Amino acid sequence: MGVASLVLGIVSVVFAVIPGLPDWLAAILGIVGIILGALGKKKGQKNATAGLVLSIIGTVLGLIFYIACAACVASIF
Amino acid sequence: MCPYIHIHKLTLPTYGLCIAIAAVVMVVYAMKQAKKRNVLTEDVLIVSAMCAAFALIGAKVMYIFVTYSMAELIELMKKGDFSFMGGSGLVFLGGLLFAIVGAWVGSLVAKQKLVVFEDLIIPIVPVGHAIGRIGCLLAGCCYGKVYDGLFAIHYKNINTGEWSTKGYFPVQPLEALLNCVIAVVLYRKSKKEHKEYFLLLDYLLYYAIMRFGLEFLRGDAERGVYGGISTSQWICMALVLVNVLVRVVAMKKKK
Repeated sequence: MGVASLVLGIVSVVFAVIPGLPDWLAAILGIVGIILGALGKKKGQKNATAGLVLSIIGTVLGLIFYIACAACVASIF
Repeated sequence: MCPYIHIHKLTLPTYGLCIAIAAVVMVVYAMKQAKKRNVLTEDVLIVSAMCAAFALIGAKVMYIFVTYSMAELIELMKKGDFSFMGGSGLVFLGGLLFAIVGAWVGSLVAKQKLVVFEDLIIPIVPVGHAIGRIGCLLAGCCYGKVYDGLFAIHYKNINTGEWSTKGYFPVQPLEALLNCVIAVVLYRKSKKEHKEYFLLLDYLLYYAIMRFGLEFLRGDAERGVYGGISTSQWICMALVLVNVLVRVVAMKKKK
């Protein structure tokens, strides 16, 4: 689980940072990475902490770029 | 108002930024409370992550159903147009109801009782919601009715730089403020002895009453009105009804 979390964390950060790749996927992969990382950390597995940290970063970045609401105010004008 | 902020060459959407800040604030609070109550922080992370996943799905699903009719959705999907799943537009009530299911699934994964997380998470949820509403204000969504009194808000069109000629009721900051009041009440209740799940029931009751009233002050177009009141108000009425029923059943069981 620690390795899976690390892989998902890396992929989620890549998806969140590189323009053109879907940010919602970064958030979802990051969330799955957090769950696997936390389960791995409970079992004392190696790589789990690194996976957890990367997954949290990926999720936060994914959320920031996915939830944009620039067009909302357009209906006023 | 200010849908993007620019830091050097980086452009960040303020709505997304506020939602991310809200998520971090909620998880940090829950983890601090967990340490005080001898609950594993890893379990809090599992439940929080599951809540976040379900909340995102719920908020988006509710938004789609409020905004589009079933015929419109089928038509769009036939054309292969899935733009309705894009980033803008989330409905908090949908997120809240799905998040409760998410917390239950998370507690199963963490192999803990759901009630363990009640006092850790519920008091901070209104704070997260308040931060989200500040994001709405900055993005210019969920705005109020046309109003020219005290604290009226004028919005700026980022494409043309033109300001709205009419003022709008400051419903987002008002909701943020009321959420903070609810958070204080829930925090104080969480420190005292209470029946299992009654903190959650209290939050749902306070929120439903507040939201029902605030809906009359909202002016944004995508309200989904049925029978003279909005979809959110129908859900709020259902929440209050279920809340009262659960309390009556709990009282009868006690007797």
